[in-house]
Amino acid sequence: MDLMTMILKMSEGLGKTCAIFFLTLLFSLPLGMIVALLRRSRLKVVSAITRFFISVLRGTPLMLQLIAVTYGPYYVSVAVNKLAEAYNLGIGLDIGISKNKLVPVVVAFAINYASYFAEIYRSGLESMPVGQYEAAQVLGYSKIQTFMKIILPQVIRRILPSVTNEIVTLVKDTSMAFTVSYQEMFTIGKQIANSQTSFVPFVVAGVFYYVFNAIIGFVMDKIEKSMSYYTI
Amino acid sequence: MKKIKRAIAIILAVMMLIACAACGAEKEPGKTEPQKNELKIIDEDLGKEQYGIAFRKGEDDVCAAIVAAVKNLVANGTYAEIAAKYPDIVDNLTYLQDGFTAEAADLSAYEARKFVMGIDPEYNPFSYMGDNGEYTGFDVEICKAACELLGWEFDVFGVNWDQKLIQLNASECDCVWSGMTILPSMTEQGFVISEPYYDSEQVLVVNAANGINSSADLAGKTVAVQLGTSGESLLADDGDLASLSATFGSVVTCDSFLKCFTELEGGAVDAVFVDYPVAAKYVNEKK
Repeated sequence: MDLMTMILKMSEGLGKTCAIFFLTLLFSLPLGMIVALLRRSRLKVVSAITRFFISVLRGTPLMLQLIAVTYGPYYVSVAVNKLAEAYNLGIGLDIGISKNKLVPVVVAFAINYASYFAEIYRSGLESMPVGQYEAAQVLGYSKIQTFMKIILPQVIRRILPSVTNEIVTLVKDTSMAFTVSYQEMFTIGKQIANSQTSFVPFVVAGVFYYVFNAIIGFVMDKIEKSMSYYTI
Repeated sequence: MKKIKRAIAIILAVMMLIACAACGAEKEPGKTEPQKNELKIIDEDLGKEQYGIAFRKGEDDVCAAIVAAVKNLVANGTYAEIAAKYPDIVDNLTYLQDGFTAEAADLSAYEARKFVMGIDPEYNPFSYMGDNGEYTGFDVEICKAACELLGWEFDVFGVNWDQKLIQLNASECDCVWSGMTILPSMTEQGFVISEPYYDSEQVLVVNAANGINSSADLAGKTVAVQLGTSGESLLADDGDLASLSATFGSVVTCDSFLKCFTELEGGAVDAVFVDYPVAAKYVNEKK
């Protein structure tokens, strides 16, 4: 197999890698904000539950979460059915494993990344001085106005470098979808490496990831620049 | 104001719970057949193959030493003793066929060394983790006994099956010996391959409830195969079964055959293409 066919084959998988990447960002960025706000809730129960979820999602490997989301429901339904049969409960669950692996993969990635983004958002929110809230109140801003017009734009500017960090990591983490047999770019690279006993596909994969991340770095740099309206 | 915030917080929390529940529901593929998973092996000739041991390029003497030691095991009866522990595979072992005789050879010419055996740690019954946490299986026991005869220090190394030959080349192990199908590409790439010791074949395993009885019934369906196995190369675009795999809806590769079977039981795929001994062991254990 020559280099060109190799690259062509792997670019087929690149589409699936991109699908994971963009869908994960689409869901996890807003979800992270919701989680961050819940985490800061004054209701002790709500913030405690959110804190627990974040600690579980950050404290277990993403690979494990992928397996749990993909195969977990099926194994649970099997266990429930066994129990129901043993005790004659007369209930039966019928949950299989998703044929379209993109769904569980994106669900697992989105909840995992949302918990990381939530903590980044929180760091931004908590870095805002109380004086700004007070000044806004004096100027007659409502709470929602204060948040949307004064706090959020500053928060976004402050957390942008950390968010870029996570996004770059996400690109590389997409290769983990392999654990649940999702045929993304790296999986195809491994298949070629195996059949050709060659290291070249891994080099190609490395170049793909690097270019992808270089583009992201460039775009995020532009966004950061456009937001640095305080610097002269 | 505080009340509104509290209400919003509660609403958001409830929404999150509903979202979680919805995630669970999403995975229902909407099929109605019961979850009784009766797996069966389709009786159809899809290609015979043989298992062998792979060594690095130029290490013909290591290969010769191991093969000689294994033949000594056959001659002194240890081979048959070990094989008796694995009833699923005993009938197809080349060295135990009628008419095969092995003569004990002199092993003293081979120098003592450390020998690292490369295995797929998830390939029951040839190589797997035993109940005591130690690697065992037919191939592991034979290799261990052979190393004992040779006076070699024996160690086991679990390889990534899809990168086994790369890892062998990198000297992470001294052989790949784990129910490995001999492929022409291996000798083309210069690896030293032992003579075959096991006759195998590729079979399709399906869910008995799905009414699939031959490979023709799988047109448009999804078939799972383990990455790096001979099944994968047979179904590849340039493989011997390319015309058959073209009729399949899609072929998915899993990193272990256990995942392939899980996908089959969970209804994500319609068949698993796998080596017969592994299929037989799994299907029998599930009964």
